[in-house]
Amino acid sequence: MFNAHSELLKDFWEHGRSARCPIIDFHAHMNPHVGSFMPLVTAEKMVAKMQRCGTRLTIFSGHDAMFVPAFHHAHDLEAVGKFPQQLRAYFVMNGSVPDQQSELELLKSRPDVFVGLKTLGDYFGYRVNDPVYTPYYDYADEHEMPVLLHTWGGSPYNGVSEVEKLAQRYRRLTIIVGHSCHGEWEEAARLANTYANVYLELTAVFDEVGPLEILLSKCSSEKIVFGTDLPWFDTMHGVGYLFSTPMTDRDRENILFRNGVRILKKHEWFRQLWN
Amino acid sequence: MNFFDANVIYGIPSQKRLYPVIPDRAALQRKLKEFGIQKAIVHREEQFFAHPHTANQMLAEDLRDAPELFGLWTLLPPHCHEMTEPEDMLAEMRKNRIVGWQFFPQQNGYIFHWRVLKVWFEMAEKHRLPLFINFSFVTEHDLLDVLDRYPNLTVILRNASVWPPDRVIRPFLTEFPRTHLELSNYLTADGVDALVACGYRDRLLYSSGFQTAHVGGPMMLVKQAAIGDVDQQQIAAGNLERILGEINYV
Repeated sequence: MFNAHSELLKDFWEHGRSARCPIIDFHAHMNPHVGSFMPLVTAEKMVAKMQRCGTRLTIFSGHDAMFVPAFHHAHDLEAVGKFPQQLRAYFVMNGSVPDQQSELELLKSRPDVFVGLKTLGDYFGYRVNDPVYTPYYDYADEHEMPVLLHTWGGSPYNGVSEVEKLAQRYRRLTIIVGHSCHGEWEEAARLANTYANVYLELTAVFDEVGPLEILLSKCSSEKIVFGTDLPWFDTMHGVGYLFSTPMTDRDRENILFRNGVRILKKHEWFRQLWN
Repeated sequence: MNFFDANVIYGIPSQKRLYPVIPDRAALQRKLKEFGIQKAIVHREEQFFAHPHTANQMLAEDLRDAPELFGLWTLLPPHCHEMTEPEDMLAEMRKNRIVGWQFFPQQNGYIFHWRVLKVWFEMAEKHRLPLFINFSFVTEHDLLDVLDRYPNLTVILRNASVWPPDRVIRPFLTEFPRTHLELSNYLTADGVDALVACGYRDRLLYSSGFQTAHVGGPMMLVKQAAIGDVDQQQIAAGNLERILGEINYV
């Protein structure tokens, strides 16, 4: 075992999961992807993987919802319908969709499926704070939803300044900073320290030594949540990275589930699912 | 489970890095013991930043009395006579516990082409010396051209990024029977399981990429892959033991 100091790692090392440390995955996808082959693209395979890893809840946005607007989120609706005890979806906001009013109505009509918002500024060509998204943010703020942003350091569409503008505009929704403004680690930590409703998320942070160490040196583990990008990256790789990074087991629990519980417990759907 | 790491880096880089540096062999050995890694193939940061001959000799000096460590040398084309000559290479490698070669053609200012490196490729094919090819430094097209001419080369591939690489990697594994994938940059969810199911168990090597990456991610990937204990152990150490056992230094 690569970290003899961690009692918690013994569970994951021996069993691939921990009864005392379930996982909430705040950043996942689904469906095949144009750019890469991935084995776990169906809801069935992803949920089986979740069960192997002790992931109690995954909030996802399917590749089809992100890149095939013509499907009108049908595959995400179907997946959550099949696995309501394990899955919920972020509603994908895409400024390219012609009929935004119908999109908004769909979001509002299915609170059993869509528990948050997601957008990808760099991919869609719309800034996080583009006015087309304002009605969605207003709704999310009213309902205190999580909003997962794809972020990347230096990006004019979803970089630090766009995240900060959104945090200044809205105080009730929870901003999940996907990829933690990859590369601008200290700025990401500053955002988490400055705004109570901003949390950093770890997908693509796990590819080298250093970034998570910087984040933990600048902000509390209580402001960091876990994500996998499933079906892209393996849950166990992320878990292994957390146990290689110097921190306490309590920090790891914060990241893997305690912060998620704190963020989501205000919602009846979560309390029913978690309890 | 025993781990034989196919890719460990140490030494002092000459450019800014985020990771804490493991400066010398003693510090590296302490770390590997802490991680529970029994053996490792290692190379120094200086083999990328400095003249290959200078840095290769630094590594050789480090490995002299470290039986759990094996080294890679960075190669140049032989035409400028800057490093160990081909007729002396095998003996020098055996003497210095060197088990393979790596290439940085752009950084070292040469062309990765069979006409340029044919002396080395012929030697590698004949003596089953592994080539450690990192697609961050050697292009996939260039390697395909070389393997078309030397299809029995023993090659250890490292994908260039963490994004799922199967559409690039699997054709190499399928077309060339002595190509392998080391897993330090392979994070694909259940990707190891899928590769084993496709018959590539003997072609996968546990690898961390430490000191640039953490050892725990790839270790957990192998340990928790749903492939059975025997297959896990093959990937963790057995396949690399077999490859090194096939090297013929004479």
